[in-house]
Amino acid sequence: MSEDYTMEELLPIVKDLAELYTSKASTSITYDAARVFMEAIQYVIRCGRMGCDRQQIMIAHRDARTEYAAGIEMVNHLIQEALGEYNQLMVNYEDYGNKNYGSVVRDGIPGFFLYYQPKFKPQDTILTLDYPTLIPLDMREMTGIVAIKQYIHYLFLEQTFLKKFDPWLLREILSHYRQDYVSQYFNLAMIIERNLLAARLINLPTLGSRTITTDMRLKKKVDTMTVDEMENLFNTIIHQLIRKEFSEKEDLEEYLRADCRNFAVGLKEIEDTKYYVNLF
Amino acid sequence: MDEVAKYNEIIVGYGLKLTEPDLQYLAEQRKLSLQWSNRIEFGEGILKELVFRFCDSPYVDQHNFVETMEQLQDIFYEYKNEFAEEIPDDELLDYMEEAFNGICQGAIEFMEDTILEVIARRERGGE
Repeated sequence: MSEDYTMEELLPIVKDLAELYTSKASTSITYDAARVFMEAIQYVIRCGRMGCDRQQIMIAHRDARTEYAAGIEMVNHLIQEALGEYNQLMVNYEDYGNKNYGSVVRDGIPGFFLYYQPKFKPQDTILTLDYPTLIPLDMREMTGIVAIKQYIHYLFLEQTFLKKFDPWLLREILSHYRQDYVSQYFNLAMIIERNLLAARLINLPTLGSRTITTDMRLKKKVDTMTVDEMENLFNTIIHQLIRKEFSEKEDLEEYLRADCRNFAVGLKEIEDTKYYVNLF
Repeated sequence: MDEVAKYNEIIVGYGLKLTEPDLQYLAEQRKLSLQWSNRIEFGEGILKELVFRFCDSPYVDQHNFVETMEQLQDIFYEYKNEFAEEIPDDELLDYMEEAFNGICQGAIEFMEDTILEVIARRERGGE
């Protein structure tokens, strides 16, 4: 936080922003506008300090204006990085027919870059990020370009994972989970990952070979394990999968592991296999 | 040249004069006006612009000058809020001048209603 600067130290920057915002055509602004600018300055300074430890911050703490200038550079850098990853994501991007996923990625994110105001409202996330990621973004802690960059990164990891499978098989699995999956709001990777983990748990050869009988086998297997054992096993399966198929992409492993505990708990709680459809 | 002299150099030609206490009073009223309208101002404020624009009005004289400036200042900040930062200072001052010297004939109590009318008319016909 930039709470180590006083209001008086930040006010000259607010003044600069107000002049820029009104093109020097107004001598005054509302308290609300001033508050937004103040938040913008604090956000930018926080961005400038990203990755710095306390000592580096103390050294960098020369004056508010210098730190603000460094922060603006960082915000612009984050925008460029996020744009770069978004462009990579869009190469052969597939939404598997899910409208929410497609609309957030194809329309929402470009809209963010179009309307984002790094100087006046860098803290504004603009989007509601309706497509849920496996690791949820805490929008109280993470906003603006920082949140969007992280979100794009998660989407990129997810797409990397999904691309390893036959798209028609994925559509089949998703339809099995929810017949109207195209208009539903859930995370696609989570369903595929859960199918994969369940298949590996009972040594099924492929993802698509799930039947009532295999669900019974899964139930028997689940009954012999504790939640912790299952979670550990899932983590191991994910680890091996990443090593083998994704050239040790650690952040993808971390991303996929985010659901392992939930899935293990969910499996353990279900008494009747017919309710597995609520899980995956 | 001190602040009072700067003002008087211009307005004395219109039979007007400001004193140090007058300016102090208007500065205090500016603060209150900004508080009431929830605004923050950087720099010297709008008073100078108001004084120089309205000093040649036929409806301003030495007797009502300070009071008129005080009220115009209030109206200015109130309308800045009304237009949510969309209107530049100069443009709003133009509207105020037109209303004050035109349809209101110097009656400030009518200005609050008529400025909107002036703006609407200009928007419609580009008058």
